[in-house]
Amino acid sequence: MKYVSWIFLSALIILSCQKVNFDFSAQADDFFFLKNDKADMPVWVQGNTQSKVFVLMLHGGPGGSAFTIDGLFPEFVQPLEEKYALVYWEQRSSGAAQGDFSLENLSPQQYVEDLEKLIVLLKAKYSPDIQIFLMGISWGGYLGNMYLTKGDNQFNISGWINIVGPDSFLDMANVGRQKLLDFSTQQINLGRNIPEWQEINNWCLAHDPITSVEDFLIENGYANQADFLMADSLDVTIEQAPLGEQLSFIFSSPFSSSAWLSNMRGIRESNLIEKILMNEVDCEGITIPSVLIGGKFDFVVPPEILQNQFEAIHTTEKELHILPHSGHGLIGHETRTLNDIIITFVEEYR
Amino acid sequence: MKNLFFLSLFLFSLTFAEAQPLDTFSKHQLSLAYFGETFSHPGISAKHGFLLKDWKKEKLKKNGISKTRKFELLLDNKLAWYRHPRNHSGLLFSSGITFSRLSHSGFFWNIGLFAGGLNKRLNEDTYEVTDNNEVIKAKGVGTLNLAYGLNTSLGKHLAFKKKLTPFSWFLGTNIFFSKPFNTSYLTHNALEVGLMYKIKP
Repeated sequence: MKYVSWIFLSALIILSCQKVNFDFSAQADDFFFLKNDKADMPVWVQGNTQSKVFVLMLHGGPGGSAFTIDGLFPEFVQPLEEKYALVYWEQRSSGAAQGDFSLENLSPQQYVEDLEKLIVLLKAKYSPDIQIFLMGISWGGYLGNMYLTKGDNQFNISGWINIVGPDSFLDMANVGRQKLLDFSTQQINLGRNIPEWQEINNWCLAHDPITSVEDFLIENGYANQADFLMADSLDVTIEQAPLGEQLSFIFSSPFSSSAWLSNMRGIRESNLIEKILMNEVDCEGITIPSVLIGGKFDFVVPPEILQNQFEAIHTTEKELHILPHSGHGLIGHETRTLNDIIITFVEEYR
Repeated sequence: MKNLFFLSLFLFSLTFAEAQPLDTFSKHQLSLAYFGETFSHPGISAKHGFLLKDWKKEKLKKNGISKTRKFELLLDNKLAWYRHPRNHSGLLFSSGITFSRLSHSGFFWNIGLFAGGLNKRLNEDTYEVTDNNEVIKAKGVGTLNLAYGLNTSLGKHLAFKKKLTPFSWFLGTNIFFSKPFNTSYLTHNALEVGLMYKIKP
């Protein structure tokens, strides 16, 4: 009986002492879920939390995955993790996110609310004095713009890193269509990939302007295809993750390819894209330090879209970089240059 | 370790001592297997099979030798547990019907359909943020899903001195769906490698 009491007491002490907040570390590996409105979203904090600088990655999509960037682009994430904490957040209906919500829960406003709660959670679990830099990629850039222009949200953020993110999906598609038209004409004249460019050229001529979801999705498909057609102009010199690491990522990481496919199906079946097309963000409301980074050969979010945002952002502490050998998949193109820009920016405003 | 060795020896000696034709076994069978969701997320499964019907077919070959094939229809009840680290743990409970084809040499091939439930639980800390920006640890971080799917397996009854023993090994795959998963359903695949034991009457 005496032993039972001791065991019970010890268990009680251990349970009452369980860690409530995360420790700061030079090589953090913290994992938890954020639950909000029936979505269970994984959050993985890796790297140098001791720096108290947290770079919160907003992945692309909608429906992309931050974990895939972590697993498949080590050359992009590792230099950042050495200096800062990198927060990989799988947004709702994206990547390895789980839950049981309805299609109505897929709206830009819902994504912003999730992000607001994640930032509150990070500050509560680490420390109120951590500095958070938002780093949006493509759709993540749009999400970041939405978050920053809502209420006082931007005052939680030390700096805004927008990598190929738009402020208006409709403008992005129409500027992209014009760029596709110009490049397809040029490439046909040069005798390069004529059948592919001809198809793009014909479609672009017949669809001016783009106003519907259907046309938006087709244009988006052609814009992504153009990235591949212009591969000779891109700097794709970074090394891929070794095969062993790629297999390990697929089979023994928190990622789930079947969950990702299911989540993307959910995005397709919802009217999220329709809602996004109707929702333009006014970047004039952004007053915090910002850096915008685009690729010269990006047909999805052409540099003109970033230029417009750059002019609209209401601060003098802003930079625009258009990388000359990059397309929309910029994190895998001029990766080292991109990292230098990000690190220089964070060091300046931390 | 010593006990484990003697236990293994005892079980092994049983298979030698009790070798007999399949027909003399009862209608019940038990199996225990490694259950790897997406092959590599480790788990374990246990299954009870009940023989609903069996029949034989003789086939005369060109060389005049006849071969007997046995067919079985089984009612299965299965319990499987797996853990996808930093994702979720799943407890699958299902019932199903399995069609089995056994050759004279002891090889068998199964195909079955099953339906049941999948209890999924997040296996890392989960937090909620209230409207007052208060952070609380979430409770009840699990869901009960409908699960249904298909499994196939192949294996061989172990034999000794040309007589089949009650033991067999098998290798199988499961493809099943669980829903709801967000706005849709989730596809799972699982590999099973294990041993089956036909219970003596």
